[in-house]
Amino acid sequence: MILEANLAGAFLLGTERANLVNNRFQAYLAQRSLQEFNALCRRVMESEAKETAEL
Amino acid sequence: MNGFGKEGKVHLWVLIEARAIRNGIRQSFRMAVIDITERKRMEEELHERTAELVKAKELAESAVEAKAAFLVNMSHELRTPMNAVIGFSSLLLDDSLTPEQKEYIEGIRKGGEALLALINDILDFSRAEKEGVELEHQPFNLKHLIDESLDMVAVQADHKGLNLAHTINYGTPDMIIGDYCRIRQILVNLLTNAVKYTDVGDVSVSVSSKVIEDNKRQILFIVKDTGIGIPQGKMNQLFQPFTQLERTMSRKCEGAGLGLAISKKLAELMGGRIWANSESGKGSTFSFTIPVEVVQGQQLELGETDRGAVFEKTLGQKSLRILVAEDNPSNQRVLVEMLKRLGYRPDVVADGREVIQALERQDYDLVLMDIKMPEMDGITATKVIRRLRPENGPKIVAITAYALEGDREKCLEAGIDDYISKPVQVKELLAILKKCSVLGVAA
Repeated sequence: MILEANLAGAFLLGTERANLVNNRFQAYLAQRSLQEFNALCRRVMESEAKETAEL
Repeated sequence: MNGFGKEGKVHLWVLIEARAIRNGIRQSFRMAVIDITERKRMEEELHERTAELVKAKELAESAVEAKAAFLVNMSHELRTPMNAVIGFSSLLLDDSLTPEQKEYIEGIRKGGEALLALINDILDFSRAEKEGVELEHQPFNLKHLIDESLDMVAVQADHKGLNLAHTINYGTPDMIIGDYCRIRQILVNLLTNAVKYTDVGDVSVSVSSKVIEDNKRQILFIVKDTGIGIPQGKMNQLFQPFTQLERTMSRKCEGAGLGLAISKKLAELMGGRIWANSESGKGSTFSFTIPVEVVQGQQLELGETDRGAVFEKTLGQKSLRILVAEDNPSNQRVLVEMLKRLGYRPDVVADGREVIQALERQDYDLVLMDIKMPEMDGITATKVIRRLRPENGPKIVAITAYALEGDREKCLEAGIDDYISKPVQVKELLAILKKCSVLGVAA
């Protein structure tokens, strides 16, 4: 769930900033990127460091 | 392609950098989302271009391989029938013929030889054209190279009544390290031209050297003739491929006009250069330099000699037991006839397996071995013979239509003692037989 986003983020996703809040980030991802995004989430949960992924 | 954005909208590539923010029991992420679509597009383009280049490179490499294979095959396929044409017409010339018949046969033989020279020239030129030609780096005796080169034009010079001379200047090293075959090829090319375009007078070779570094010298070869010379305006065309200066000259002197182009390429390949000075009607001087290393401690004796033709017709020693291994019936007959006329009675087999069987039945001093034969090729047969009889085996001389560099090495590695290429010339055959006799191979 998106808690807050900046204007650049909203512009990148092609929507209003207000529309983003309380929406799932996954909704903006292509189907085939979901698995990799979930893997990124798992890594972030387990790690203190910054994790990256290209989707 | 991975996408970002709502399905149906423009798909983007993004880099997500995420870090966990731990706030009591609740966990959240802070994510930076960076648009990397442009970078990805460029990467993809680069990837595609690289793939295209790799494909093009592979294509080019296979073209080079195909060209090399074509050269080998062409060399073989063209030289094999030439063997029959030149061999049989030479044999016919020795028989009793009417003057008219003799003239016709002589025409066939000369035409055959000219065609063979042309095939060799085109092969040489293609070889020299190829990039990355590997140069030999072997020590050799410079005087031997000059002697051998002069020997190769001695017969023609003698026919024309030309005086053939050489001078080796003081300080010229005796043993040098370089590419013997290629230096000889240039020298023979220049000497052949000199003899070809000179009707009266002399053809001479002069060799001198200049110090480049401690053990490095620049060897200067000068081939001078008293022939028809070259008009000033034509000098710049000299080293162009497929050029013969005058039409009248071309008619008189056959050839593809590749000799000087090949010589230039070879000299440049070896780090040297080639040039000419001439005046129409007053003869020509062709010079080339080759940088070489010197094998220390040896220098040539000062020498100046006059040479006539050196061509022995018969040999004293005729008791060699010879086995001819050749699958092509025409070439078989040519070779056997040549040997018979030289006083030998060779046995004949048609493939490598039969060579081994023949050697089991009796000893031979010399095996004249074709390389490309059915059942078992000459190289394999040689390896078997050398394994079965590591000592006291016969002398094996390869007779093959393969004429590309590297073939000689393949033959020598297999245990073949010497090598002559098709079409077999009586002169070369005699040299081999003489060598066998001198080495005491004969019983």
